[in-house]
Amino acid sequence: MHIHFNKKHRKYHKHGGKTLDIDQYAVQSGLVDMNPDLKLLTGVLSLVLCLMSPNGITAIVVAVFMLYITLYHGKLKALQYFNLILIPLFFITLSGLVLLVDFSKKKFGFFNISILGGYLIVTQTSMKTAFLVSTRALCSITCLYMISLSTPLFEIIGVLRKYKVPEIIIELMYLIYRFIFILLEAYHNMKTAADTRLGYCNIKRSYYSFFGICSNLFVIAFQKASKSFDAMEARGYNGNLKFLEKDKPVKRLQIVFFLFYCFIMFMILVLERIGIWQKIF
Amino acid sequence: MAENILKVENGTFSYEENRFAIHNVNMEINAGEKIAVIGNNGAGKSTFFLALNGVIKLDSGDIYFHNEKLEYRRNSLLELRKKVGIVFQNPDEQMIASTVEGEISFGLYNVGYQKETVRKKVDEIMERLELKEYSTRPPHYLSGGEKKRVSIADIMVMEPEIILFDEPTASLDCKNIQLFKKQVNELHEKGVTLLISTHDMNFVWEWADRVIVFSNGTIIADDKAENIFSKEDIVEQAALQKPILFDFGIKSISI
Repeated sequence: MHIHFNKKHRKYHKHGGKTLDIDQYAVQSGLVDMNPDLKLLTGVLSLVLCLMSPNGITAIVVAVFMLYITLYHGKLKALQYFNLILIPLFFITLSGLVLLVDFSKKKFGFFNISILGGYLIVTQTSMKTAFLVSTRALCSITCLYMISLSTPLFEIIGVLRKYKVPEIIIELMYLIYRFIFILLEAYHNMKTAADTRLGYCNIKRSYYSFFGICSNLFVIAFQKASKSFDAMEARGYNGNLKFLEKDKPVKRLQIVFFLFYCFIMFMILVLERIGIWQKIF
Repeated sequence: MAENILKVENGTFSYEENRFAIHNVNMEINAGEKIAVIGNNGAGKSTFFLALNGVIKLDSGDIYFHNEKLEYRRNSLLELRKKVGIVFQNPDEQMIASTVEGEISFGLYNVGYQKETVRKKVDEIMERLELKEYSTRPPHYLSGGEKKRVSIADIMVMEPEIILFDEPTASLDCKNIQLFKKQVNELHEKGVTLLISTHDMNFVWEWADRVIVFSNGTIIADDKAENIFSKEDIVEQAALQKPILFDFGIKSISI
């Protein structure tokens, strides 16, 4: 797959094949020149805030802020974001439903259906739990999305290395990241080749082609890995992966903004935790 | 007589038992030479290159670098790899970093340079190979020709004495082949010794001072291009195709 980059418009033009959308969005994000440490810190801090929020109010405020950063400053299209969040949203909705509905022998709760000699019930408590858990989960995802849609993976790895995550994990992360691309490309090429030979003409043949490709992919992964390792050795690899990275210093305004954000969020969280909202409403 | 840089004596290596990838290879490489390595697929060219860089350890035989025998120890290997660079056939196999500048810097960090020096050298080479505008982009999204340029920059940045190119023109279009030839000529002018494995006989005819022919893992000829293409038995044994200009020259002489 080839993507041409247009410097003026900061946009990739993609020809065929779908690789990792998230990775592309990160590279072309409006926030890509911002200091990765700060982005990660903001994301992780917001995540903690979401999880500590007792009624989900802080979580919602955090999520709104994260959306604002990702969509406005990151210059990501709302539709693209929506497509990405659809998958976690689906799972959260499912788990929310499970939390929402209970099974009971007795008829109670403000909603119930008789089934198999018992009742499917929804109570006030289960509704509250379902709402709280889903909200927190969804809002936490906006924080993680803020990080992964604005920071290319190698920069995240760079930050982790700076904070002394063990070298072996760092190396594995780099190599796995690199090999995802190699494998996806190999898969894509084999799939196209199978397609040209009518490998997907019906469901049965599709399964056959798919499993054939999967087993070949294993062999190819192994071959490519060993070639790649040869190439690394040829350049003197000695068990230490190190690359040149662009310095991205933190701007003073960003720090001020970050501290202001922390302060506001912390206040909201404290107010929420002492239960001021219940007193008002 | 030019200075001898690299010498292989009775080099033998096999991936599987009793099937030699290279067998009893003897050759010397002198400073500033332009050597083309030819031979059909599986003749042992790539293995030979890997052996010259110390990535594969010869089963028997020795390699001498500046008349010093290569001991397969970490330090001497590092020294060898610093001075003998390989540009792999497929840039995707060579690329490892997530940005172009990170990719180019990889070898320099391995050799042990500090960040300031690395930055300076990487910037210089990107300027020279017109890669500056791609510096912070992921290399796996570049086009074929651009990837090749990055993979050449990877090696050039380490300033090796010898560069081995494994079928560099195989996946390039005409424009990129021209660019490649230009870069190779510049390297030659700087005094870098070059070995290029290729199937493009016209390129061999036009460029090489010396041609090495591989067949079934052994060197069957090592001579000037005109001498090689005029020997029918070698041409036949290695299944070579004669360059157009050579054929044309022979015909015009006989007329």
